[in-house]
Amino acid sequence: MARPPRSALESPATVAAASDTPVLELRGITKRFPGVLANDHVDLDLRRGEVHALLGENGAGKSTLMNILYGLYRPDEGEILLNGKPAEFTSPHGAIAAGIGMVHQHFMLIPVMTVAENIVLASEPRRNGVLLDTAAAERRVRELAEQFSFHIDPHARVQDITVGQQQRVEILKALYRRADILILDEPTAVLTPQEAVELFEILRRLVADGMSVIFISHKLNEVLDIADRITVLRRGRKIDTIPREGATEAGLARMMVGREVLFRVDKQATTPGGRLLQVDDLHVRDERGLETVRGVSFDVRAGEIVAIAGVDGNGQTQLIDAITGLQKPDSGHVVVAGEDLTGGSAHSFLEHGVGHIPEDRHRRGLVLEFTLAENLVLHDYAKEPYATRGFLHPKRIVEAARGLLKEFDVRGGTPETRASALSGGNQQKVVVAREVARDPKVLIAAQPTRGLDVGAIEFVHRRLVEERNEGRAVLLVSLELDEVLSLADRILVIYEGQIVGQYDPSVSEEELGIAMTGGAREAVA
Amino acid sequence: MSSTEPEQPQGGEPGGYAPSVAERLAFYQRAGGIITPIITAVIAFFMGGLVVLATGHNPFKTYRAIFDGTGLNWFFHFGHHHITLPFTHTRVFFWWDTNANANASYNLSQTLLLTTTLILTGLAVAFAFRCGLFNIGGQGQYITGAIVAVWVGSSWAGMAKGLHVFLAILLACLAGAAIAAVAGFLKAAVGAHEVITTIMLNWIAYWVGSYALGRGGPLQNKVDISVPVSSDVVKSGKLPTFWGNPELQALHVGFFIALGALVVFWLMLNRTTLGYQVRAVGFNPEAARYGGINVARNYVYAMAISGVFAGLGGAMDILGWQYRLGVLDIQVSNIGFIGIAVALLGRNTAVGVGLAALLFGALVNGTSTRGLDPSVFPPTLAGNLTLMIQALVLLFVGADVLVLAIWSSRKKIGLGRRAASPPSPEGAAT
Amino acid sequence: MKKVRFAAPLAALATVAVVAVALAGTGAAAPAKKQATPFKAGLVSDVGRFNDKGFNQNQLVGLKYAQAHIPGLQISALESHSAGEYLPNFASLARKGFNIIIGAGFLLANQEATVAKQFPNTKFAITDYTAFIPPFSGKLKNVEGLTYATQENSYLVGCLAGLMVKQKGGSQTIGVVGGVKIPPVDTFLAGYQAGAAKCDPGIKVLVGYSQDFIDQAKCKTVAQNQIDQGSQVEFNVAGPCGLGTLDAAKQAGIWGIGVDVDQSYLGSHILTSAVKRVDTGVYLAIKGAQNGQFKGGADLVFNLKNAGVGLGKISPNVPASFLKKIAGLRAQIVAGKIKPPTKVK
Repeated sequence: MARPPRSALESPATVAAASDTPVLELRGITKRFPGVLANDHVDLDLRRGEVHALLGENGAGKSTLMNILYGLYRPDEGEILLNGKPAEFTSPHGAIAAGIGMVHQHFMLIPVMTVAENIVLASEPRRNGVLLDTAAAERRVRELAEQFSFHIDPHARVQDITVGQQQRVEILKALYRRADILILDEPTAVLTPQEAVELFEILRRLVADGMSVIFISHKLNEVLDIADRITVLRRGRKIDTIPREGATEAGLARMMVGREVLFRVDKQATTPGGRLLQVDDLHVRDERGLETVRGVSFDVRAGEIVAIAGVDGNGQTQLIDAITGLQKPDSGHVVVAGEDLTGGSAHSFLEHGVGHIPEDRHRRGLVLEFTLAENLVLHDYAKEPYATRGFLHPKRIVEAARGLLKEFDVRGGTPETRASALSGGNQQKVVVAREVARDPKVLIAAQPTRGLDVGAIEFVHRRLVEERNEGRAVLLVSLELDEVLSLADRILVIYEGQIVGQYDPSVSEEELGIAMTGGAREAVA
Repeated sequence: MSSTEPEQPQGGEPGGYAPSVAERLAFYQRAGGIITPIITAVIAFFMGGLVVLATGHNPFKTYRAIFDGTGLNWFFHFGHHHITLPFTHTRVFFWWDTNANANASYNLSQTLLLTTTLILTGLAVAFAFRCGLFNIGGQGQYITGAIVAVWVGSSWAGMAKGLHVFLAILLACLAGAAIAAVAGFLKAAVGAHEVITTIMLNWIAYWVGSYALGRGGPLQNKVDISVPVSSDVVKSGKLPTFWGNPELQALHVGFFIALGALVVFWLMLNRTTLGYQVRAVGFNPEAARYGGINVARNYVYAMAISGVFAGLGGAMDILGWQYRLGVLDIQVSNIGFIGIAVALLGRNTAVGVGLAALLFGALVNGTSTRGLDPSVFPPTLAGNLTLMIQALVLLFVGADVLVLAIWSSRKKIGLGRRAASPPSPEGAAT
Repeated sequence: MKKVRFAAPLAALATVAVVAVALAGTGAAAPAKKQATPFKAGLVSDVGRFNDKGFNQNQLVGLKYAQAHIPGLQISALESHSAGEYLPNFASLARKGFNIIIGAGFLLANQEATVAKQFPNTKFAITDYTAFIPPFSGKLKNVEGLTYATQENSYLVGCLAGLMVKQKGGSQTIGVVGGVKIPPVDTFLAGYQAGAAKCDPGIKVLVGYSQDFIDQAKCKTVAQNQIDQGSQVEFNVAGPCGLGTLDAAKQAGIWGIGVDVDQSYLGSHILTSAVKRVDTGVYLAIKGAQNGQFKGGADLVFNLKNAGVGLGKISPNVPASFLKKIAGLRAQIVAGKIKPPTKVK
């Protein structure tokens, strides 16, 4: 992964520890689930006024550790010290009362209630003992928001505000309950890059004010950006705690994964061949009837990776759906290997050699209740050798799956394992294996590394480049700038449903970033 | 990744993502396995026992009477017996008395008659369930099949026996499929919820049947026009019986047809491309669509196949033992609705549906007033006891996710107790 | 509905007083002889079940009455929850050696005939169904039909209706609404016509059919038409549908006459009811079978003489002289001097 956009945001100074006693200390925490040792004698200490990153691959035990701290689980062994005194939380109420606030990945907000109501929920200011004092609630929320320069309207309903603002509501909720330790569980997973930058600014203000933050992540760049110290977990064990100074992405990745990780994919120059995917003046509406793809044209040649970069919600989803047959475009054409498939079914696109790694593997890419073998034939279950005249050949399906699982290094399951039992990275490998093994002419990869850890990202990137080298046309749609820059042969920027620029991979992040936020619109038009 | 260390399964760490309702149900289904349905049934019978106790009767004696009423005691006539060897007059020792209790064998044959139909109405619900559809219309599909079977079976006399039965069954299945497919089509075409449409179709079948068999209706018998009942199924339209006096509602070969339907159900779901599609749509329609499966078409297919099972159930009853259909038969029948309970308790699997159908068949037959001594149970009480125990099982079947939740929270509390020994001032503060 | 439930057993006693035929007297007359093997009587309900507050329930009342009044009698009442239970219920009672098994109505005819063939030594009876038509056709010598001579009590209500109209004056017209034109309905109608003509010669009896036994609206429409034509009394011969007939009478402020059970609970507009005593029928069938008076292959007819049919509660507004007139006619019918017709004119 490339350098984080640190230049403009570098905090003035790392806040030094205010006292020698850590505000929070975990000693020898051990937690077993049936068949899994989620935490194995983990130690952690949190100093006042620091951001302490908890880094690890998916399934390394980070969330378990924090759920123990927050009173959701009980440790099988070990103890928790709060300001040097032993503490035991039987429930989140205990943790909250002790000044610990947690922002989960999935927000615990009530969409139809206002920001203020959500924040004061369960500790509402009351008038005459029973009535909710709305005015007082809003006043106190406003004071808090101003104190930490949160830009948020207490009257707004939660369902009407952005995900980034919802996250701020969660943080305000913790502050309102007078938390001085804040746990953030993969907070940037749901944010746009710009929202992530804003979040980091908020965190810096909070620690400057004496708060302590535990920041859970598997993204190296943001950990190096925000953390004062970094604790790395691997397979439930603590590997080390190191200061940010001197830490490198390569070093952290090695600690996380247990071996060297390549960040830049080796990529030889190739000469692109014929045009395998042509998109011509495509117009698509979303389910609300808004036109979100407004006249997109581009092509992808054999042996090249074309990346479509853009901030989430600029029409990428509808564009992909339209060029994979999942949605009918209003107008325009989609031509695959010379054949006009516009308006065809998903089935016809598959039959004409379009592979599609979907952006959401749980919603779309996998049937989680199916076994891996069943998932691997999701497109071809009705074809020889997997089926003859409507009857399946389970043995052949399992055998084929066995080969693919091995080839694509899917771990944690046999062909008979249910897809839901796998970690995210391995699930994504199953999806990649299925799409690549069909030998497609065009491979469409939508955010193929979302939510993956470094090892899995490296794998997916390598496969995409291999597919390109084998002469397929690869279309990469991604929100991650460094992914786009490291993989693409050509970069298209999408903004508000239109392609607003085409760039060479040598373009700078700044220039791309400006284009993605609409700055380059005029230049192209 | 070059590490050779085996990766630990990581599904155990919660908090990775929020599972959907379907995923949670699937989890419960796996986690519960066979245990939850059994616990469910045991609790239902326990509660039923309490109610029996409250009415001043002995629950053990009552359940004993119910058990004897099911005829399942037929299997327990072990001991020192003799049977006649086939084709000879030689009597030899045999460990099992095959005709010790004519009553038990008769009761058992009646239980299996009910089981036959319940398997089929249960499969009708289960198959749709596997496609993510809640088919409440098993009753209407059953009635439709029965009406068509009685029409074909009572007219068209003079046809060759095998052909006549076959045609009656085939057309009944198709009729069941047709009425069920309407709900599938409405779901596929305009998104009308199948629970609503199948309930409405139930009433359509109910009233069409009431009209057709009612006074002056096209299917009413011509012998006594005051009686709203169809003509009798002619001899060539009847299914052969194989156990019991053929004149006294003996067990017919439809029992084996139902067992065959269980096998077909399993094969169809697990060994055909159609079953693959149906399951994919049932678990995750969006992923199925992405996989190139026509989701709308599968809704129609799945409902139609469900209708085939229910329609077959109707045909089995008419051609196997009932031989005629009356307006009141339609109006008081609830075997299609019991099928919902059979499917739920049987977890929508072939084996589960088979066992649940046997349980409900035994329950319905065992709690008939025949088995409960009228001198002990006033007939009106016995009749209500029947319905009550059935209702309790249904209630707990519906609540078995709850049972599981209690079961798992018990585990959680167990862990909690162990860790909670040191007092926690912070925790106690709130 | 609750009233109906009690109406039947109460009527069992009330009618005794009104019609002056001592049911209890007949019962008491039976010799109470001790038997080595107890006599066993069974009753199988149709799917309406014994808590139907009507047809099935009244027969259960009769069975219990028999148990109370026939010394040593053992009874069993089996309820059928579905058509599938008819046959096992009959067969189960036959196997247990029941001496007489009564099916509670036409719904059970086919299954009863099947079982009767299999158990030729067991006596069977069927309520409100004649043994002369299929599936029995008079050939099954162990099945007895229990039929009701409803022309007799209908003759009496017809006479009463005629007397009331004659006394009141005005339009000398009365009406009757039958369900469907079938013999069990027409016997009521024929008796009603004849009785009215007897007591008010020249009276006009309007006859209508609703073509339904359930839908009250249909009967109400037919009744309202008749009322428009001047009908001053409306007779219901259509089961639940006929509640519409009686409702029309109430709204028009004229008399209504109930059927099958005592429907006086409906209000003061009910003149009386032509009651079919299925409870008495069950009791008498059992008693007859025990006394060797079982009529295999034929019908046991219930009439005014044996109190199998009768009148319900008569409105207190009926003059005593009319009651006397009715009692006289009853005596003549019982004596066989008057034979009311069974065919509608």
